[in-house]
Amino acid sequence: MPPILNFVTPALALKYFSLCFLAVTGALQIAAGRRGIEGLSLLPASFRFWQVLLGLALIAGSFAIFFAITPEVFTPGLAGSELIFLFGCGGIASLLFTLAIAEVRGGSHFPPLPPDAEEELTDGKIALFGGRLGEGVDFCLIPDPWEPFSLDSLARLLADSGRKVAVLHWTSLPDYGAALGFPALALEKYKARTIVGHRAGGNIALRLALGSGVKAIAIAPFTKAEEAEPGLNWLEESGIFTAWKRLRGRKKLIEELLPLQKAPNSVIIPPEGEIKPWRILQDEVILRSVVDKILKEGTGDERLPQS
Amino acid sequence: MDYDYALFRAINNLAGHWPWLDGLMRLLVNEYFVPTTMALMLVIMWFWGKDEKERTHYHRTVILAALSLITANIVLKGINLLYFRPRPFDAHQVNLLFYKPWDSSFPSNPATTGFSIAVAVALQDPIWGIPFLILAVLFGFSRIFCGVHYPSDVLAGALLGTFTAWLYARYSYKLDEPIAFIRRWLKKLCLA
Repeated sequence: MPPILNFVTPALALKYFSLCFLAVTGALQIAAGRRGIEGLSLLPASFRFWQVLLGLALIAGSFAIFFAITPEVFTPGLAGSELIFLFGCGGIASLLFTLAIAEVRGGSHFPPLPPDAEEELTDGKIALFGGRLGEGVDFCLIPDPWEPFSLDSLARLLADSGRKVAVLHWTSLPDYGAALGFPALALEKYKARTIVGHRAGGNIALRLALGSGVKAIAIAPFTKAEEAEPGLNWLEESGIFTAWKRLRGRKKLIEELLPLQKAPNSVIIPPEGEIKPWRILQDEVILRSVVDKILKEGTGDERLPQS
Repeated sequence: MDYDYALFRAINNLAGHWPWLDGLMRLLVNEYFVPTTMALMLVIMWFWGKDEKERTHYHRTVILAALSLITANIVLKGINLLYFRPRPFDAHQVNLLFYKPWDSSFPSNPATTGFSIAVAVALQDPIWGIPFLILAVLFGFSRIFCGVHYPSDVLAGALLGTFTAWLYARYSYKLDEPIAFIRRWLKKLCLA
């Protein structure tokens, strides 16, 4: 009986491995483009059409090159088991390559913005936009602890419209106690009338509003425990390493914060249309409409900023 | 009359008349194009689901297709050890558009491979199954067209592949736990 792996010629094996590597990279781009999977995208997730086109080009190109440079295709070649082995190796190499490039390309969608003032509290820092230390604020913003700077742009826009805003900057991933304790401390210190939270921060804001009487505005909070389950949905949101970092504690915290409960005067801003919850603050136009809603809901002020 | 040989002749005699058809069949007949394309479609399918329900369905389909392929090929190797059938070009003058394989003609390895994947997919998801089945049929047809298999070899391979795929579909409920186990681990890696 012939051995399972002969590798008839190393050159043919290498060519087939290269075909698999490129073609699987193309297949991953088609899937990522079609489903908007950030962690598998070689191009920004908003370039979905181009991603699918890139995927098709990679597949067609890799086949064309393979058949052009491999006359051995029409001679006795690799056995079925060798093909499966090489496809597996090429596929895994391609997946690792794509995940790594997507991670590096993606980076953080929410780079920190320089605040006007900053203060250190237990469990984190407070960044003040549009105000000075020792002053009260209009809004207290609670970002998702796993996206610590996600509300900086929002804070800057609110500050530009004349509001004073305090943003919580988590310095470590909180457990349930710290997740409620740090914002409660900030609320007490800065006497905010309204708290605004994003994603897990939204769940924290709603939970805080239940007991304190302040108004909460939750932007795309988690509504079901399954949303916090690790899996491909996390890869839709970020690169693989960021997703793995979220394995530490996010699900537990969300489960403790759910079920979603709304205090009587609280507001939830859900994502509209096909916008994914984690992209709601990444688009300039949507961000401005969120600011408008916050100003209207949070202060009752109909005098919206000129945007 | 040998219907098998008569059908082989009818199909194989089409070779050599139209260069474009010969080119297409030479693209399809080799061991690289169709199996790799099917595998790529399975990769796309794995990541295709838009929610947990769809993902569970597609992951299950891909895993069953892979199991069907492996099982069909093990059975095929067993049949090859017990029975050897010479290739058409060993016994007849044929229009040969491919190299001369030395292993047993019966059952057709490519047809087994193609149908074990295609039927497994089609039984779980008829819409996705259509392109898989088209590829499997073309793969089998090209082997006859190019002179390396009798129609009965391809038919036997297709039946073997179909049977293993049907077995997995019929008894897939017994694999619920192992499939869930695989998905649980891949979920922790954020890949399922």
